[in-house]
Amino acid sequence: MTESENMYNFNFFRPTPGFAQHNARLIAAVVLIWAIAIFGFQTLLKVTEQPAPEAQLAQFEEIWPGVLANNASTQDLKDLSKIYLNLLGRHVALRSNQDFKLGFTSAVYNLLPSNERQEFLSLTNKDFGAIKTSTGEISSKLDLKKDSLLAQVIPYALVPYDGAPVSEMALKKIPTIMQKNLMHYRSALTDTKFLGFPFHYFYTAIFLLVLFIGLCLFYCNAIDKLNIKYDLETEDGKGVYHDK
Amino acid sequence: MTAFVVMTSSSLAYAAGSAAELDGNFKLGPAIIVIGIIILFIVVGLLNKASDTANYWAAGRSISRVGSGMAIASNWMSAASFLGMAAIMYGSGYHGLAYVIGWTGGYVLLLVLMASQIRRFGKYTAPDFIGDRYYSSGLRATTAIIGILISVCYCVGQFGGIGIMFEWVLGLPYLWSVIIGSSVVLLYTLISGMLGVTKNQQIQYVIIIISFMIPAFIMTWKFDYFWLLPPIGYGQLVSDIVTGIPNNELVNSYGHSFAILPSPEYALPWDPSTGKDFFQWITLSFSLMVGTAGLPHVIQRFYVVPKVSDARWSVVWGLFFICILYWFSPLYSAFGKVLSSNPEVGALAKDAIVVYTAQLADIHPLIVGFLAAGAISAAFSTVSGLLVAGASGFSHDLYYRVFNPNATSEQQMMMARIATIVMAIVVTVIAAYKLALIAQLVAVAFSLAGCTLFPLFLLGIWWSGSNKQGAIAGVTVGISISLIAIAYFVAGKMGVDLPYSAFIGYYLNAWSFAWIAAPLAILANIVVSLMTPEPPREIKKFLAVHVHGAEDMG
Repeated sequence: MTESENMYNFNFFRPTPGFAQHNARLIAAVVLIWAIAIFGFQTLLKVTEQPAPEAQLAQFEEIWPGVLANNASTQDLKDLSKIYLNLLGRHVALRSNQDFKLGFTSAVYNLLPSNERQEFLSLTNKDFGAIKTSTGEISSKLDLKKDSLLAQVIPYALVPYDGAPVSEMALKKIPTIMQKNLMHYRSALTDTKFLGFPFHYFYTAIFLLVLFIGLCLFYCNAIDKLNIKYDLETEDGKGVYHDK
Repeated sequence: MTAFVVMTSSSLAYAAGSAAELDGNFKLGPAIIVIGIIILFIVVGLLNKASDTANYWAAGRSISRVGSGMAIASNWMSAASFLGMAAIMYGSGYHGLAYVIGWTGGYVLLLVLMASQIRRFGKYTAPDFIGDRYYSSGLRATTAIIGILISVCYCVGQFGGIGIMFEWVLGLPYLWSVIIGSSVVLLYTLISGMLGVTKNQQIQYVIIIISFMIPAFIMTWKFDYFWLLPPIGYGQLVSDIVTGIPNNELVNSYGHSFAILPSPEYALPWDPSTGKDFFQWITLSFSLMVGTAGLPHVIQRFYVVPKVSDARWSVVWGLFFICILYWFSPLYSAFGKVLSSNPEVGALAKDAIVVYTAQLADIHPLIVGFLAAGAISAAFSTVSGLLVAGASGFSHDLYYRVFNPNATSEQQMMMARIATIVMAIVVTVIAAYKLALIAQLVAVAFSLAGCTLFPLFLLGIWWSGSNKQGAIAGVTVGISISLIAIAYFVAGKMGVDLPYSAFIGYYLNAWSFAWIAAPLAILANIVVSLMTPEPPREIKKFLAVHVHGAEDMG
């Protein structure tokens, strides 16, 4: 192979001398910063995270065995009902989960005195409007204020009920749903605030975009000078070979 | 005159319907705004009617770097950016930011690895570059076909966005909305050609960004956040969503308090309740980034600038203009989260959350109408660019270069117009099925580009040893993996359970399969190239001297 043929063999890691070499180093620096800023940070976020369950998860795990054994106290059933309402209020998808809503309906039924249960069963089988007007009564049974955020969820959390025990299959799903929705993962990066944002959110949603523009600006300025130095472009940016 | 204006705007506002009507009932005020803007686009398109092939294909290389940057941004800011990102963040929280990063971070790769190099190569289209670099008319044709498929995938998401917005504004069923919207964008794409589209896209950018920003300022002011800079102001709202906002006197259009139960899953990364994890975030953002650097209709933008340096600087300007919208987008999902938190609002179509949020914030109906017009404008600007790219792929790269090298300009123009119409019909049919969210459908196009065209560009520019055989091997690997991923996705949607569907659905997800397909395509290209004869000397010399500035040794 002649020397000229060798000159025309190149790759990014073995660039031809001169412009290509400088350009390759510049590109490597930009891409390295880019990669670390994006993937390095997300990896840091992942490796530093710790389980941070909501208090209600521990509460649920304490109450649930009693529910399964049918000997949960009235207070436990009230607390469980609030946990159901909390999740139903936050997750639209859960409001389509009939088993989950059955769990709530059953919990409310079981905490009521026996002389009020029949009336409750009738209510669950009425139309939505009737249920909504009875929200105040149910919320008072749960020690909730009528206009509280949790109380607003009640009409959407009830399903038609006949008083029968909830099936085993339905009961098995509840702990999984609780675990999935009440367990979170946090770190110093998520708990620190910056300009009002959780820091990690600011970094990803705002800072990285600024960095991308900054990297592009840096590269363009540097490469403009290189192109002029190596006579690939004129001072007004015209390509020597292509821009006539 | 003043009284007339006041009466007219009041009537329009009244006719626009109650802000609480989130559904697609006919809204006169917003409908007039949308139709007015569409007529404006058509008039501008008519005034810029292309007369010959050169103008049609590369806008006569007459657009400035800022103007080109604005056109890049307008072309980029599609329904996926305008509507889709907020939709994903509304439903999946932090995971949605993978789309924000993926669709902006890729521009850094595009700039340093592609922009000026491709401009220096001096070809009209991406298939032209591939065909000449790899001295293969077969690869030229293959690239053209892939480009058309990418355009089709991309357009499906856009037509879906158009359908949703027309549904909201005109109260028409989704299918009719898609048909009407596609007909209008097809009309002005056919008659104006690329020159008209480019100049039109600068106007479209202004409409897009203003329509997006105004409601953001209003919402941050109305709900007591730092309204002078909404992309910073909504930060406190994100924190408030995490800790919860108690009942207060601020209300939405339903009269519900601006309140929400503590919802840490909204902001915490890969929260279990979202069903998304770290692997999915990383692979998705990576796929979107390499896809960005492989999209033929973006790369084609570099040919419309007069100088090589303009190709680079138009990327910078384009990214800046894009980021303006991307900084605002999460704001809509955050406000939407709180404003729709009362169960009475019900489950909202995520892809329309931007408009619903403005409605729920009780913003003036005409401003909401302008916002919807901005969404339609965003979709139109992208679709027109995609249809042109797809049509040029067929007419110039397939018909002229492969089937009929003696074709005249008029014949090529006719083929381009036929291809545009056929593409629009195919896309409309697919879009009617609503297979996924807008952003997800668009991500399919990115993954396809990332594992087929990006490896070709990357190795074609940066390794003299990449030859025709290696390129064919790489493209074959990329296309094969793409087919598997898309086939499993479609089968899943049709209720067909293929073998190992859970495994494929996770590791070769339809919107992020480029994470593995791109590296494998690159590897195949390298291995086969090393095993087969080197590229011709002239090609290596051209690459080294004209593209990379090596000394001409003769």
